[in-house]
Amino acid sequence: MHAVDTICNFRLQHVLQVAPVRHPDRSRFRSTRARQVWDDGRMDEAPPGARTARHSREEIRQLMMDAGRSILVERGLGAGAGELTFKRVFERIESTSGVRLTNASVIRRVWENQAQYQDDVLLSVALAGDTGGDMGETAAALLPALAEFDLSTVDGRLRGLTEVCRTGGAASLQALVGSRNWSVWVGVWVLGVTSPSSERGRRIRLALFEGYEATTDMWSELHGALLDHLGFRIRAPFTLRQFTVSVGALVEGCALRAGADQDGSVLERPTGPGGRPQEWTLFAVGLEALAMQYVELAPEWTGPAGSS
Amino acid sequence: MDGARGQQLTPGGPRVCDDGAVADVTEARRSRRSREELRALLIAAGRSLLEEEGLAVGAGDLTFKRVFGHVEATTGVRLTNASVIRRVWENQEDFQADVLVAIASTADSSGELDRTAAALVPLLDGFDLSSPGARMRALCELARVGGEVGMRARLETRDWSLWMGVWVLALTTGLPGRRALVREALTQGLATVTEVWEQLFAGISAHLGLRVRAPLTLRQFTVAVSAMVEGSALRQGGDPELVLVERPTGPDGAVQEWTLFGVCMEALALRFFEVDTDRAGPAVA
Repeated sequence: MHAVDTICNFRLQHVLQVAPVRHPDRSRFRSTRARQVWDDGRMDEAPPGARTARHSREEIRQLMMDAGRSILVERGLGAGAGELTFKRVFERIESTSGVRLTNASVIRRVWENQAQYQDDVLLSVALAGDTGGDMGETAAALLPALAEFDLSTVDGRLRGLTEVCRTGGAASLQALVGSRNWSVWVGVWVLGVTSPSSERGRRIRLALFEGYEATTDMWSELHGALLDHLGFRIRAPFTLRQFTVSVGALVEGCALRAGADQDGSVLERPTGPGGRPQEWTLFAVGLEALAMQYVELAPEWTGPAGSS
Repeated sequence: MDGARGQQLTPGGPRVCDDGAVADVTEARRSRRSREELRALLIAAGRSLLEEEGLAVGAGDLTFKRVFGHVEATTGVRLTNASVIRRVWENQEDFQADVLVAIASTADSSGELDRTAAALVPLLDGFDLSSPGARMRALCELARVGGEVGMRARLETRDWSLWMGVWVLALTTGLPGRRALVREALTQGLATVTEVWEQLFAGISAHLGLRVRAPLTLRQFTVAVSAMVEGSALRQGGDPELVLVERPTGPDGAVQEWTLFGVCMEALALRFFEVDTDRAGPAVA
Protein backbone atom coordinates (compact mmCIF):
# COMPACT_ATOMS: atom_id res chain seq x y z
CA MET A 1 0.00 0.00 0.00
CA HIS A 2 1.27 3.42 -0.90
CA ALA A 3 1.90 5.96 1.79
CA VAL A 4 -0.24 8.51 -0.07
CA ASP A 5 -3.20 6.11 -0.02
CA THR A 6 -2.76 5.55 3.69
CA ILE A 7 -2.73 9.26 4.45
CA CYS A 8 -5.75 9.94 2.22
CA ASN A 9 -7.62 7.08 3.81
CA PHE A 10 -6.74 8.34 7.27
CA ARG A 11 -8.00 11.84 6.50
CA LEU A 12 -11.14 10.52 4.88
CA GLN A 13 -12.04 8.48 7.93
CA HIS A 14 -11.66 11.50 10.16
CA VAL A 15 -13.79 13.65 7.90
CA LEU A 16 -16.53 11.08 7.46
CA GLN A 17 -16.35 9.73 11.01
CA VAL A 18 -16.54 6.18 9.77
CA ALA A 19 -14.39 3.17 10.41
CA PRO A 20 -11.16 2.76 8.51
CA VAL A 21 -11.40 0.58 5.47
CA ARG A 22 -9.82 -2.76 5.97
CA HIS A 23 -7.25 -3.59 3.33
CA PRO A 24 -6.62 -6.94 1.75
CA ASP A 25 -3.26 -7.25 3.44
CA ARG A 26 -5.07 -6.84 6.77
CA SER A 27 -2.59 -4.27 7.92
CA ARG A 28 -3.84 -2.45 10.95
CA PHE A 29 -4.94 1.11 10.76
CA ARG A 30 -2.85 3.16 13.14
CA SER A 31 -4.07 6.28 14.81
CA THR A 32 -3.52 8.13 18.02
CA ARG A 33 -7.10 7.50 19.15
CA ALA A 34 -7.86 5.17 21.99
CA ARG A 35 -9.73 2.40 20.18
CA GLN A 36 -10.91 1.66 16.71
CA VAL A 37 -13.36 -0.89 15.47
CA TRP A 38 -12.84 -2.36 12.05
CA ASP A 39 -15.65 -3.04 9.66
CA ASP A 40 -15.44 -6.75 10.44
CA GLY A 41 -15.98 -6.02 14.12
CA ARG A 42 -12.34 -6.37 15.17
CA MET A 43 -11.48 -3.76 17.75
CA ASP A 44 -8.16 -2.12 18.51
CA GLU A 45 -7.69 -1.61 22.20
CA ALA A 46 -5.76 1.44 23.35
CA PRO A 47 -2.98 2.23 22.96
CA PRO A 48 -2.69 1.59 19.24
CA GLY A 49 -0.46 -1.26 18.41
CA ALA A 50 -0.75 -2.87 21.81
CA ARG A 51 -3.18 -5.69 21.00
CA THR A 52 -6.29 -6.40 18.97
CA ALA A 53 -9.47 -7.71 20.58
CA ARG A 54 -12.32 -9.01 18.51
CA HIS A 55 -15.79 -8.21 19.76
CA SER A 56 -18.56 -10.42 18.53
CA ARG A 57 -21.65 -9.04 16.88
CA GLU A 58 -23.54 -9.92 20.03
CA GLU A 59 -21.14 -7.94 22.21
CA ILE A 60 -21.41 -4.91 19.97
CA ARG A 61 -25.16 -5.27 19.84
CA GLN A 62 -25.31 -5.46 23.62
CA LEU A 63 -23.14 -2.36 23.98
CA MET A 64 -25.34 -0.45 21.59
CA MET A 65 -28.56 -1.65 23.15
CA ASP A 66 -27.43 -0.67 26.64
CA ALA A 67 -26.32 2.73 25.44
CA GLY A 68 -29.55 3.20 23.52
CA ARG A 69 -31.66 2.49 26.56
CA SER A 70 -29.52 4.77 28.71
CA ILE A 71 -29.94 7.64 26.28
CA LEU A 72 -33.68 7.16 26.11
CA VAL A 73 -33.90 7.06 29.89
CA GLU A 74 -31.87 10.26 30.10
CA ARG A 75 -33.40 12.17 27.24
CA GLY A 76 -36.88 10.79 26.79
CA LEU A 77 -38.49 9.63 23.62
CA GLY A 78 -37.60 12.69 21.68
CA ALA A 79 -38.93 14.58 18.76
CA GLY A 80 -42.58 15.22 19.45
CA ALA A 81 -44.06 17.38 16.77
CA GLY A 82 -40.90 17.20 14.69
CA GLU A 83 -42.84 16.49 11.53
CA LEU A 84 -44.83 19.64 12.02
CA THR A 85 -42.74 21.91 9.83
CA PHE A 86 -43.86 25.35 8.77
CA LYS A 87 -43.64 24.21 5.15
CA ARG A 88 -46.12 21.39 5.66
CA VAL A 89 -48.45 23.52 7.71
CA PHE A 90 -48.39 26.26 5.12
CA GLU A 91 -49.25 23.73 2.43
CA ARG A 92 -52.10 22.40 4.50
CA ILE A 93 -53.54 25.88 5.04
CA GLU A 94 -53.26 26.72 1.37
CA SER A 95 -54.95 23.51 0.27
CA THR A 96 -57.80 23.83 2.76
CA SER A 97 -58.40 27.57 2.86
CA GLY A 98 -56.59 29.02 -0.16
CA VAL A 99 -54.57 31.31 2.08
CA ARG A 100 -50.87 31.26 1.30
CA LEU A 101 -48.40 31.94 4.09
CA THR A 102 -44.64 32.19 4.14
CA ASN A 103 -42.01 32.04 6.86
CA ALA A 104 -42.01 35.82 6.89
CA SER A 105 -45.67 35.73 7.85
CA VAL A 106 -45.03 34.01 11.12
CA ILE A 107 -41.37 33.95 12.15
CA ARG A 108 -40.71 36.65 14.71
CA ARG A 109 -44.28 37.79 14.21
CA VAL A 110 -46.18 34.95 15.81
CA TRP A 111 -43.46 32.59 16.96
CA GLU A 112 -39.75 33.11 17.27
CA ASN A 113 -39.10 29.97 15.30
CA GLN A 114 -40.55 26.65 14.19
CA ALA A 115 -39.67 24.86 17.44
CA GLN A 116 -41.66 27.41 19.41
CA TYR A 117 -44.59 26.87 17.11
CA GLN A 118 -44.39 23.08 17.61
CA ASP A 119 -44.34 23.54 21.38
CA ASP A 120 -47.36 25.77 21.11
CA VAL A 121 -49.27 23.08 19.22
CA LEU A 122 -48.31 20.44 21.78
CA LEU A 123 -49.42 22.70 24.61
CA SER A 124 -52.76 23.31 22.92
CA VAL A 125 -53.30 19.55 22.62
CA ALA A 126 -52.35 19.07 26.27
CA LEU A 127 -54.63 21.87 27.43
CA ALA A 128 -57.58 20.48 25.50
CA GLY A 129 -57.57 17.42 27.78
CA ASP A 130 -58.73 14.05 26.58
CA THR A 131 -62.21 14.96 25.46
CA GLY A 132 -62.41 13.67 21.93
CA GLY A 133 -66.14 13.82 21.77
CA ASP A 134 -66.37 10.64 23.81
CA MET A 135 -68.46 12.37 26.45
CA GLY A 136 -70.98 13.42 23.82
CA GLU A 137 -71.14 9.88 22.43
CA THR A 138 -71.55 8.43 25.92
CA ALA A 139 -74.38 10.82 26.73
CA ALA A 140 -76.04 10.12 23.38
CA ALA A 141 -75.93 6.37 24.07
CA LEU A 142 -77.43 6.84 27.53
CA LEU A 143 -80.23 9.30 26.87
CA PRO A 144 -82.76 6.89 25.30
CA ALA A 145 -82.24 4.38 28.13
CA LEU A 146 -82.67 6.98 30.87
CA ALA A 147 -86.25 7.64 29.86
CA GLU A 148 -87.08 3.93 30.00
CA PHE A 149 -85.90 3.19 33.53
CA ASP A 150 -88.48 2.37 36.18
CA LEU A 151 -87.21 4.49 39.06
CA SER A 152 -90.22 4.01 41.32
CA THR A 153 -88.49 1.40 43.50
CA VAL A 154 -85.04 0.93 45.04
CA ASP A 155 -84.54 -2.18 42.91
CA GLY A 156 -85.47 -0.21 39.81
CA ARG A 157 -82.97 2.52 40.65
CA LEU A 158 -80.22 -0.05 41.24
CA ARG A 159 -81.06 -1.72 37.93
CA GLY A 160 -80.94 1.70 36.31
CA LEU A 161 -77.47 2.34 37.71
CA THR A 162 -76.27 -1.07 36.51
CA GLU A 163 -77.65 -0.47 33.02
CA VAL A 164 -76.06 2.98 32.87
CA CYS A 165 -72.72 1.37 33.70
CA ARG A 166 -73.20 -1.33 31.07
CA THR A 167 -74.33 0.80 28.15
CA GLY A 168 -72.51 3.99 29.10
CA GLY A 169 -69.33 2.05 29.81
CA ALA A 170 -69.39 0.33 26.43
CA ALA A 171 -70.08 3.60 24.58
CA SER A 172 -67.47 5.51 26.52
CA LEU A 173 -64.70 2.97 25.92
CA GLN A 174 -65.56 2.60 22.25
CA ALA A 175 -65.51 6.37 21.76
CA LEU A 176 -62.17 6.70 23.51
CA VAL A 177 -60.50 3.86 21.61
CA GLY A 178 -61.68 5.34 18.32
CA SER A 179 -60.76 8.90 19.18
CA ARG A 180 -57.78 10.25 17.26
CA ASN A 181 -57.85 13.24 19.57
CA TRP A 182 -57.24 11.02 22.54
CA SER A 183 -54.41 9.27 20.73
CA VAL A 184 -52.64 12.54 20.12
CA TRP A 185 -53.33 13.72 23.64
CA VAL A 186 -51.91 10.57 25.15
CA GLY A 187 -48.91 10.94 22.84
CA VAL A 188 -48.30 14.39 24.29
CA TRP A 189 -48.53 12.78 27.70
CA VAL A 190 -45.62 10.58 26.67
CA LEU A 191 -43.59 13.61 25.71
CA GLY A 192 -44.43 15.39 28.93
CA VAL A 193 -43.66 12.48 31.20
CA THR A 194 -40.68 10.91 29.47
CA SER A 195 -38.86 14.06 28.46
CA PRO A 196 -35.96 15.13 30.67
CA SER A 197 -36.41 17.95 33.16
CA SER A 198 -36.64 21.12 31.15
CA GLU A 199 -38.74 24.24 30.88
CA ARG A 200 -40.46 22.73 27.86
CA GLY A 201 -41.27 19.49 29.70
CA ARG A 202 -42.51 21.45 32.70
CA ARG A 203 -44.84 23.53 30.52
CA ILE A 204 -46.24 20.44 28.80
CA ARG A 205 -46.83 18.72 32.13
CA LEU A 206 -48.54 21.81 33.49
CA ALA A 207 -50.77 21.99 30.42
CA LEU A 208 -51.59 18.29 30.75
CA PHE A 209 -52.75 18.82 34.31
CA GLU A 210 -54.82 21.84 33.33
CA GLY A 211 -56.37 19.81 30.53
CA TYR A 212 -57.10 17.01 32.95
CA GLU A 213 -58.75 19.42 35.36
CA ALA A 214 -61.02 20.83 32.67
CA THR A 215 -61.95 17.37 31.38
CA THR A 216 -62.61 16.10 34.89
CA ASP A 217 -64.90 19.06 35.55
CA MET A 218 -66.98 18.21 32.49
CA TRP A 219 -67.24 14.53 33.29
CA SER A 220 -68.06 15.30 36.92
CA GLU A 221 -71.03 17.33 35.75
CA LEU A 222 -72.30 14.42 33.65
CA HIS A 223 -71.76 11.92 36.47
CA GLY A 224 -73.47 14.21 38.95
CA ALA A 225 -76.47 14.68 36.66
CA LEU A 226 -76.79 10.93 36.11
CA LEU A 227 -76.64 10.19 39.84
CA ASP A 228 -79.26 12.86 40.52
CA HIS A 229 -81.51 11.41 37.86
CA LEU A 230 -81.25 7.89 39.27
CA GLY A 231 -81.54 8.94 42.91
CA PHE A 232 -78.02 8.28 44.12
CA ARG A 233 -75.44 10.34 45.98
CA ILE A 234 -71.73 10.06 46.66
CA ARG A 235 -70.91 7.99 49.74
CA ALA A 236 -68.95 9.85 52.49
CA PRO A 237 -66.02 10.49 52.70
CA PHE A 238 -65.62 10.31 48.93
CA THR A 239 -66.22 13.17 46.52
CA LEU A 240 -67.77 13.27 43.07
CA ARG A 241 -64.41 14.36 41.73
CA GLN A 242 -62.65 11.31 43.16
CA PHE A 243 -65.25 9.09 41.53
CA THR A 244 -64.74 10.83 38.19
CA VAL A 245 -60.95 10.61 38.43
CA SER A 246 -61.19 6.88 39.22
CA VAL A 247 -63.55 6.23 36.30
CA GLY A 248 -61.28 8.24 34.00
CA ALA A 249 -58.24 6.26 35.07
CA LEU A 250 -60.00 2.96 34.46
CA VAL A 251 -61.33 3.88 31.04
CA GLU A 252 -57.94 5.14 29.90
CA GLY A 253 -56.20 2.03 31.18
CA CYS A 254 -58.79 -0.13 29.41
CA ALA A 255 -58.43 1.90 26.21
CA LEU A 256 -54.68 1.31 26.21
CA ARG A 257 -55.23 -2.38 26.88
CA ALA A 258 -57.83 -2.63 24.12
CA GLY A 259 -55.13 -1.79 21.62
CA ALA A 260 -52.75 -4.46 22.82
CA ASP A 261 -54.89 -7.25 24.17
CA GLN A 262 -58.50 -7.93 23.20
CA ASP A 263 -58.69 -11.08 25.30
CA GLY A 264 -61.58 -11.08 27.74
CA SER A 265 -62.75 -7.60 26.86
CA VAL A 266 -66.40 -8.67 26.45
CA LEU A 267 -68.26 -11.16 28.64
CA GLU A 268 -71.83 -12.24 29.32
CA ARG A 269 -73.60 -11.73 32.63
CA PRO A 270 -77.18 -12.65 33.62
CA THR A 271 -78.15 -9.04 34.28
CA GLY A 272 -81.00 -8.66 31.78
CA PRO A 273 -84.72 -8.79 32.57
CA GLY A 274 -85.54 -12.21 34.03
CA GLY A 275 -81.84 -13.02 34.35
CA ARG A 276 -81.24 -12.96 30.61
CA PRO A 277 -77.56 -12.73 29.60
CA GLN A 278 -76.25 -9.35 28.55
CA GLU A 279 -72.94 -8.38 27.03
CA TRP A 280 -70.56 -6.46 29.28
CA THR A 281 -67.22 -4.95 28.50
CA LEU A 282 -64.60 -5.48 31.17
CA PHE A 283 -64.51 -1.72 31.61
CA ALA A 284 -68.26 -1.66 32.28
CA VAL A 285 -67.82 -4.35 34.95
CA GLY A 286 -65.13 -2.22 36.56
CA LEU A 287 -67.28 0.88 36.23
CA GLU A 288 -70.12 -0.86 38.02
CA ALA A 289 -67.69 -1.89 40.76
CA LEU A 290 -66.52 1.72 41.15
CA ALA A 291 -70.13 2.96 41.22
CA MET A 292 -71.02 0.52 43.99
CA GLN A 293 -67.96 1.67 45.91
CA TYR A 294 -68.48 5.41 45.54
CA VAL A 295 -72.25 5.90 45.49
CA GLU A 296 -75.27 5.03 47.60
CA LEU A 297 -79.01 5.56 47.38
CA ALA A 298 -80.06 9.10 48.20
CA PRO A 299 -82.60 8.71 51.07
CA GLU A 300 -84.52 11.95 50.47
CA TRP A 301 -84.82 11.45 46.75
CA THR A 302 -88.37 11.86 45.46
CA GLY A 303 -87.97 11.28 41.73
CA PRO A 304 -86.07 12.46 38.67
CA ALA A 305 -85.83 16.24 38.20
CA GLY A 306 -88.79 17.44 36.16
CA SER A 307 -91.03 14.50 37.03
CA SER A 308 -94.35 15.22 38.66
CA MET B 1 -45.18 50.59 4.00
CA ASP B 2 -45.96 50.46 0.32
CA GLY B 3 -48.85 48.10 -0.18
CA ALA B 4 -47.15 46.18 -2.96
CA ARG B 5 -43.74 45.89 -1.36
CA GLY B 6 -42.75 42.37 -0.35
CA GLN B 7 -45.83 40.87 -1.91
CA GLN B 8 -45.42 37.57 -3.71
CA LEU B 9 -46.66 37.99 -7.25
CA THR B 10 -46.94 34.39 -8.37
CA PRO B 11 -50.32 33.41 -9.80
CA GLY B 12 -52.86 31.83 -7.50
CA GLY B 13 -55.03 32.67 -4.53
CA PRO B 14 -54.33 34.90 -1.58
CA ARG B 15 -50.78 35.96 -0.75
CA VAL B 16 -49.29 36.94 2.56
CA CYS B 17 -46.64 39.60 2.60
CA ASP B 18 -43.74 39.48 5.01
CA ASP B 19 -45.46 42.04 7.19
CA GLY B 20 -48.41 39.69 7.63
CA ALA B 21 -50.70 41.38 5.16
CA VAL B 22 -52.75 38.96 3.07
CA ALA B 23 -53.32 39.86 -0.57
CA ASP B 24 -56.10 38.14 -2.46
CA VAL B 25 -54.81 38.31 -6.01
CA THR B 26 -57.96 37.15 -7.69
CA GLU B 27 -60.13 39.73 -6.03
CA ALA B 28 -57.40 42.34 -6.00
CA ARG B 29 -57.96 43.22 -2.41
CA ARG B 30 -55.81 43.12 0.70
CA SER B 31 -56.75 42.23 4.21
CA ARG B 32 -54.44 42.17 7.19
CA ARG B 33 -54.59 39.21 9.56
CA SER B 34 -53.70 39.82 13.14
CA ARG B 35 -51.04 37.80 14.91
CA GLU B 36 -53.79 36.07 16.83
CA GLU B 37 -55.60 35.09 13.65
CA LEU B 38 -52.43 33.71 12.13
CA ARG B 39 -51.67 31.82 15.30
CA ALA B 40 -55.16 30.33 15.41
CA LEU B 41 -54.90 29.34 11.76
CA LEU B 42 -51.58 27.57 12.14
CA ILE B 43 -52.44 25.93 15.42
CA ALA B 44 -55.59 24.48 13.91
CA ALA B 45 -53.68 23.21 10.87
CA GLY B 46 -50.96 21.76 13.07
CA ARG B 47 -53.44 19.92 15.24
CA SER B 48 -55.19 18.62 12.20
CA LEU B 49 -51.93 17.20 10.86
CA LEU B 50 -51.10 15.59 14.18
CA GLU B 51 -54.52 14.01 14.39
CA GLU B 52 -54.12 12.53 10.93
CA GLU B 53 -50.52 11.44 11.09
CA GLY B 54 -49.63 11.05 14.73
CA LEU B 55 -46.87 12.63 16.69
CA ALA B 56 -43.99 11.06 14.84
CA VAL B 57 -42.43 10.45 18.21
CA GLY B 58 -40.21 7.51 18.85
CA ALA B 59 -36.54 6.96 19.18
CA GLY B 60 -35.73 9.71 16.73
CA ASP B 61 -33.03 11.14 18.97
CA LEU B 62 -31.33 7.80 19.15
CA THR B 63 -28.82 8.28 16.35
CA PHE B 64 -25.82 6.03 15.88
CA LYS B 65 -23.58 9.05 16.37
CA ARG B 66 -25.03 9.76 19.80
CA VAL B 67 -25.03 6.13 20.81
CA PHE B 68 -21.41 5.76 19.75
CA GLY B 69 -20.55 8.79 21.84
CA HIS B 70 -22.34 7.31 24.83
CA VAL B 71 -20.60 3.97 24.44
CA GLU B 72 -17.21 5.64 24.24
CA ALA B 73 -17.87 7.89 27.22
CA THR B 74 -19.10 5.09 29.43
CA THR B 75 -16.95 2.15 28.34
CA GLY B 76 -14.04 3.64 26.40
CA VAL B 77 -14.92 1.50 23.40
CA ARG B 78 -15.05 3.38 20.13
CA LEU B 79 -17.51 2.22 17.50
CA THR B 80 -18.24 3.49 14.02
CA ASN B 81 -21.00 3.02 11.49
CA ALA B 82 -18.99 0.28 9.86
CA SER B 83 -19.03 -1.65 13.14
CA VAL B 84 -22.76 -2.04 13.11
CA ILE B 85 -24.40 -1.19 9.80
CA ARG B 86 -25.18 -4.38 7.92
CA ARG B 87 -23.37 -6.27 10.68
CA VAL B 88 -25.78 -5.85 13.54
CA TRP B 89 -28.58 -3.78 12.06
CA GLU B 90 -29.41 -2.95 8.49
CA ASN B 91 -29.60 0.72 9.34
CA GLN B 92 -30.20 3.21 12.12
CA GLU B 93 -33.96 2.84 11.93
CA ASP B 94 -33.60 -0.88 12.48
CA PHE B 95 -31.53 -0.22 15.58
CA GLN B 96 -34.10 2.23 16.95
CA ALA B 97 -36.91 -0.27 16.44
CA ASP B 98 -34.80 -2.90 18.21
CA VAL B 99 -34.37 -0.66 21.24
CA LEU B 100 -38.10 -0.01 21.35
CA VAL B 101 -38.82 -3.73 21.06
CA ALA B 102 -36.44 -4.35 23.97
CA ILE B 103 -38.26 -1.81 26.12
CA ALA B 104 -41.69 -3.08 25.06
CA SER B 105 -40.89 -6.65 26.06
CA THR B 106 -39.82 -5.73 29.60
CA ALA B 107 -43.28 -5.04 30.94
CA ASP B 108 -42.41 -5.19 34.64
CA SER B 109 -38.93 -3.77 34.72
CA SER B 110 -40.03 -1.49 37.54
CA GLY B 111 -40.08 -4.44 39.92
CA GLU B 112 -43.63 -3.55 40.90
CA LEU B 113 -44.57 -7.20 41.29
CA ASP B 114 -41.65 -7.99 43.60
CA ARG B 115 -42.23 -4.93 45.75
CA THR B 116 -45.97 -5.55 46.02
CA ALA B 117 -45.52 -9.22 46.89
CA ALA B 118 -42.85 -8.36 49.47
CA ALA B 119 -45.25 -5.91 51.14
CA LEU B 120 -48.18 -8.31 51.13
CA VAL B 121 -46.55 -11.53 52.37
CA PRO B 122 -46.01 -10.34 55.98
CA LEU B 123 -49.65 -9.21 56.10
CA LEU B 124 -50.96 -12.59 55.02
CA ASP B 125 -49.62 -14.30 58.14
CA GLY B 126 -51.22 -11.78 60.50
CA PHE B 127 -54.80 -11.84 59.24
CA ASP B 128 -57.68 -13.22 61.25
CA LEU B 129 -59.36 -15.55 58.78
CA SER B 130 -61.69 -17.24 61.23
CA SER B 131 -64.95 -15.92 59.75
CA PRO B 132 -66.28 -14.94 56.29
CA GLY B 133 -66.44 -11.30 57.39
CA ALA B 134 -62.83 -11.38 58.60
CA ARG B 135 -61.70 -12.88 55.30
CA MET B 136 -63.37 -10.12 53.31
CA ARG B 137 -61.81 -7.52 55.65
CA ALA B 138 -58.42 -9.07 54.94
CA LEU B 139 -59.10 -8.67 51.23
CA CYS B 140 -59.82 -4.96 51.74
CA GLU B 141 -56.63 -4.48 53.76
CA LEU B 142 -54.62 -6.14 51.01
CA ALA B 143 -56.20 -3.77 48.49
CA ARG B 144 -55.26 -0.80 50.70
CA VAL B 145 -51.65 -1.78 51.32
CA GLY B 146 -50.95 -3.50 48.00
CA GLY B 147 -52.58 -0.67 46.08
CA GLU B 148 -50.30 1.93 47.60
CA VAL B 149 -47.11 -0.10 47.27
CA GLY B 150 -47.86 -1.10 43.68
CA MET B 151 -48.65 2.42 42.58
CA ARG B 152 -45.57 3.89 44.23
CA ALA B 153 -43.38 1.22 42.66
CA ARG B 154 -44.66 2.22 39.24
CA LEU B 155 -44.37 5.95 39.66
CA GLU B 156 -40.93 5.97 41.22
CA THR B 157 -39.15 4.40 38.29
CA ARG B 158 -38.32 6.08 35.04
CA ASP B 159 -38.19 2.70 33.35
CA TRP B 160 -41.92 2.40 33.76
CA SER B 161 -42.74 5.72 32.12
CA LEU B 162 -40.46 4.81 29.23
CA TRP B 163 -42.16 1.44 28.82
CA MET B 164 -45.53 3.14 29.02
CA GLY B 165 -44.34 5.63 26.43
CA VAL B 166 -43.35 2.91 24.00
CA TRP B 167 -46.69 1.26 24.59
CA VAL B 168 -48.60 4.45 23.89
CA LEU B 169 -46.52 5.13 20.80
CA ALA B 170 -46.95 1.62 19.49
CA LEU B 171 -50.69 1.90 19.80
CA THR B 172 -51.26 5.46 18.79
CA THR B 173 -48.63 6.55 16.32
CA GLY B 174 -46.73 5.24 13.36
CA LEU B 175 -43.41 4.18 14.78
CA PRO B 176 -40.59 4.22 12.31
CA GLY B 177 -39.79 0.82 11.00
CA ARG B 178 -40.80 -2.40 12.64
CA ARG B 179 -43.94 -1.22 14.34
CA ALA B 180 -45.51 -4.66 14.21
CA LEU B 181 -42.55 -6.11 16.09
CA VAL B 182 -42.88 -3.51 18.82
CA ARG B 183 -46.57 -4.32 19.18
CA GLU B 184 -45.85 -8.02 19.26
CA ALA B 185 -43.18 -7.60 21.93
CA LEU B 186 -45.58 -5.44 23.90
CA THR B 187 -48.39 -7.96 23.68
CA GLN B 188 -46.10 -10.80 24.72
CA GLY B 189 -44.65 -8.78 27.57
CA LEU B 190 -48.13 -7.90 28.80
CA ALA B 191 -49.29 -11.51 28.56
CA THR B 192 -46.32 -12.73 30.57
CA VAL B 193 -46.75 -10.14 33.29
CA THR B 194 -50.51 -10.70 33.43
CA GLU B 195 -49.90 -14.40 33.94
CA VAL B 196 -47.48 -13.81 36.81
CA TRP B 197 -49.86 -11.36 38.50
CA GLU B 198 -52.70 -13.82 38.01
CA GLN B 199 -50.69 -16.47 39.84
CA LEU B 200 -50.06 -14.06 42.70
CA PHE B 201 -53.77 -13.21 42.94
CA ALA B 202 -54.65 -16.93 42.77
CA GLY B 203 -52.33 -17.64 45.69
CA ILE B 204 -53.71 -14.77 47.76
CA SER B 205 -57.37 -15.62 47.14
CA ALA B 206 -56.72 -19.29 47.97
CA HIS B 207 -54.99 -18.25 51.20
CA LEU B 208 -57.92 -16.02 52.17
CA GLY B 209 -60.49 -18.66 51.26
CA LEU B 210 -62.05 -16.59 48.49
CA ARG B 211 -63.09 -17.43 44.93
CA VAL B 212 -63.99 -15.46 41.83
CA ARG B 213 -67.70 -14.81 41.32
CA ALA B 214 -69.13 -16.62 38.28
CA PRO B 215 -69.10 -15.83 35.38
CA LEU B 216 -66.10 -13.59 35.97
CA THR B 217 -62.58 -15.02 35.79
CA LEU B 218 -59.34 -14.43 37.63
CA ARG B 219 -57.74 -13.37 34.32
CA GLN B 220 -60.42 -10.68 33.90
CA PHE B 221 -59.77 -9.43 37.42
CA THR B 222 -56.04 -9.29 36.69
CA VAL B 223 -56.59 -7.38 33.45
CA ALA B 224 -58.99 -4.97 35.16
CA VAL B 225 -56.50 -4.29 37.95
CA SER B 226 -53.69 -3.78 35.43
CA ALA B 227 -55.83 -1.36 33.43
CA MET B 228 -56.68 0.46 36.63
CA VAL B 229 -53.06 0.81 37.69
CA GLU B 230 -51.94 1.90 34.22
CA GLY B 231 -54.73 4.45 33.88
CA SER B 232 -54.09 5.74 37.39
CA ALA B 233 -50.37 6.12 36.72
CA LEU B 234 -51.16 7.85 33.43
CA ARG B 235 -53.41 10.24 35.30
CA GLN B 236 -50.69 10.87 37.87
CA GLY B 237 -48.59 12.19 34.99
CA GLY B 238 -45.44 10.74 36.49
CA ASP B 239 -46.00 12.65 39.71
CA PRO B 240 -45.20 10.32 42.63
CA GLU B 241 -47.27 12.45 45.05
CA LEU B 242 -50.41 10.36 45.70
CA VAL B 243 -53.79 11.71 46.76
CA LEU B 244 -54.85 10.14 50.05
CA VAL B 245 -58.35 9.61 51.42
CA GLU B 246 -59.08 8.92 55.08
CA ARG B 247 -61.64 6.21 55.80
CA PRO B 248 -62.81 4.62 59.05
CA THR B 249 -61.77 1.16 57.93
CA GLY B 250 -59.33 0.27 60.69
CA PRO B 251 -60.02 -1.86 63.80
CA ASP B 252 -63.03 -0.43 65.67
CA GLY B 253 -63.53 2.17 62.98
CA ALA B 254 -60.06 3.66 63.31
CA VAL B 255 -59.18 6.03 60.48
CA GLN B 256 -56.85 4.66 57.80
CA GLU B 257 -55.21 6.32 54.84
CA TRP B 258 -56.17 5.07 51.40
CA THR B 259 -54.77 6.00 48.03
CA LEU B 260 -57.40 6.54 45.38
CA PHE B 261 -55.97 3.54 43.57
CA GLY B 262 -56.35 1.45 46.74
CA VAL B 263 -60.01 2.47 46.89
CA CYS B 264 -60.44 1.32 43.28
CA MET B 265 -58.58 -1.93 43.97
CA GLU B 266 -60.97 -2.64 46.81
CA ALA B 267 -63.95 -1.91 44.57
CA LEU B 268 -62.71 -4.35 41.93
CA ALA B 269 -61.84 -6.99 44.53
CA LEU B 270 -65.30 -6.79 46.10
CA ARG B 271 -66.93 -7.09 42.68
CA PHE B 272 -64.81 -10.07 41.59
CA PHE B 273 -64.36 -12.11 44.79
CA GLU B 274 -66.69 -13.83 47.21
CA VAL B 275 -66.17 -16.12 50.16
CA ASP B 276 -65.47 -19.66 49.04
CA THR B 277 -68.02 -21.55 51.09
CA ASP B 278 -66.27 -24.85 50.41
CA ARG B 279 -63.16 -23.65 52.16
CA ALA B 280 -62.96 -23.52 55.93
CA GLY B 281 -59.77 -21.51 56.36
CA PRO B 282 -56.40 -20.53 54.96
CA ALA B 283 -54.52 -22.91 52.69
CA VAL B 284 -51.48 -22.68 54.89
CA ALA B 285 -52.08 -22.96 58.59
